[in-house]
Amino acid sequence: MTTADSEVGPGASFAVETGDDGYVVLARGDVDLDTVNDFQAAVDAALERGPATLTFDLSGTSFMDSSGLAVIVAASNRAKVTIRNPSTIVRRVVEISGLAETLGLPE
Amino acid sequence: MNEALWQRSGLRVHRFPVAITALALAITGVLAWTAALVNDHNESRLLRLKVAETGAVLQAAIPSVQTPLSSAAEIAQDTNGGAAGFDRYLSAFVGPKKTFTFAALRSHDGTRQLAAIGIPARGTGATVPELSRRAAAKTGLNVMGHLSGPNRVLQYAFASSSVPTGPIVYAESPLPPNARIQPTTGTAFSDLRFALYLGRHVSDDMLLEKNADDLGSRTASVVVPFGDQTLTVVAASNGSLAGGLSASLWWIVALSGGILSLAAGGVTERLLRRRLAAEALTAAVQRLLDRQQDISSALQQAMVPPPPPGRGHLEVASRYVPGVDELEVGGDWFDVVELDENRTFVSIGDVSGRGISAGTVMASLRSAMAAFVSEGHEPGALLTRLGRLLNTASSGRFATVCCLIVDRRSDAIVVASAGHLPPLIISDGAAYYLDGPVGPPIGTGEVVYDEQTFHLPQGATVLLFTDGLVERKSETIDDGLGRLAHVAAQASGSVDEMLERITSELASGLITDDTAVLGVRLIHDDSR
Repeated sequence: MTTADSEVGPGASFAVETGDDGYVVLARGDVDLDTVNDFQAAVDAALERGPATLTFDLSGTSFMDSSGLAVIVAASNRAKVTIRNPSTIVRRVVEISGLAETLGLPE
Repeated sequence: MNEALWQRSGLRVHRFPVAITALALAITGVLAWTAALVNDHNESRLLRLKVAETGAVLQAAIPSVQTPLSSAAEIAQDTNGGAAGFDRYLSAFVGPKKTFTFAALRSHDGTRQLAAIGIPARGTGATVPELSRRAAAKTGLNVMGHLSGPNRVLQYAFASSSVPTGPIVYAESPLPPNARIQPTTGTAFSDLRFALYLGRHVSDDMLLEKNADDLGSRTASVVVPFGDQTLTVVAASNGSLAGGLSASLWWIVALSGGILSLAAGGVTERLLRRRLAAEALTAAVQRLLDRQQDISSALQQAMVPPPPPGRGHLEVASRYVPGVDELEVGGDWFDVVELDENRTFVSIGDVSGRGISAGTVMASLRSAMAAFVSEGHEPGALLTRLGRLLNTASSGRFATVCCLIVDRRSDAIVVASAGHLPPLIISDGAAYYLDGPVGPPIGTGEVVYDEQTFHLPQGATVLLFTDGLVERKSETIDDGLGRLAHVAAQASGSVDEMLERITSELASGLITDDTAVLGVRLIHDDSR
């Protein structure tokens, strides 16, 4: 198991783990303009290894703004992206932005 | 940078550090004075002890004079005034560099000299009978000083107390000429300057000997009994009795205190200058931030000018509320284009993220959209074309856009959305969202956007907005949308008045995101 941790600001951290056929980005804390650069860095680190799939485990994230969604959208062009365990707040933002299909949001 | 401030702190020392230095110097002065006072007190006390010790030593030396005389008197008595025994015994003590220079045995009444050894000092002859008579009257050692003239001597007359009528022993001890003796070492007197007087009075004519011309101001004295007379020792210390540290403590305190005082003043001055410099720097930074905020605000105004209030059949109002971080340009925009006298194109959009690059994405999308509008595209086709201009994978940004066309003749509204929040219709004290098709945001790939036509009630207001108005971290977007509908339903009056109420209730606090709000209302002429 490969783990790359990056501690961010007050209460946001991102880690990359090896998944079944790709990588899992674990996000803890809010993803917004203050933390999006570190989120981007974690995703870039995972994409550099050329995975077939990239899973975003958002069980530790309650809020994500459009800049965070843009990171996931950009990643979806390079790997098959799925979102796991989104909070209701994140799920509704994804749905209302018309991104449910693009980002592989579970039904 | 505040030039005046810099110059002032550069050329002049501030008052506070000077006060610190002055206070520290004053404390140093008091401490040094105290140290000197304590040392002075110690010196005087030690000198008194030293001189008392010297007196004891002197007293212990007196028997070296008295014992030979008393023994000689005993011998003379035993031999009944025989000069032979007297000579034999006392000759060991008489001579140059000995205790006595002259000794004589005299009859009890003092008138006759029975025996003599050595050479009498010149000028003492007249006082010998007188001293002998004194000894006859008062047994024991009697002392007299012959202290003037070249031959200075101490004269002694001893009468034994055991034999009241026995002979008197007379002797003379030399005194140094001019009373001056060389300093001695290794004795009780060695580190003292002293003067020895016969009697209790300190006067030059009673001076026996001294080892220094000037004793100085700090002296102590002791009186020692000497036969029927006394000896007075007056002494001063050659050096510091309490030790070098005690003597130099006051100036050590003064010197180190003075240095510390100046250092404290210097450090305080330096800290003060640094603080002033930091304050000047903070003020300069604040001015720069203010200026940058002005620039951002002006840039935003230039990129997204408020649409004209509308002509004839159209009433338009808008608000732009910058987020907490006002230094950066946001990516929100709105636009109103009158296509002809009946049809009006309205759009609102939001590029993800902030900053100049978000602003440039916004500006390019906005100008492209103006071109597509002039080509006569409907909202859905327009968004489809717009979607080819942005790629999230390369730019890291996407844009949500809602655009619509309202037609005054048919009261129809045609809406298309690229991931944007739905338009809100406010009509007759009610408010509802247009539930049309929503495609993904611009930038997510090749997408064909659908559009849907709705009927617009007469006098209804169409409200378009960006997520800053409804998005809060602690709740779902549905909660925010519900709150907006609730507030909007209660708003009335002109479009501008409605927007004022809505933004003051929902976008007045410290919202983190930029907020753009656009309101459009169709005005029907009753003549139609």
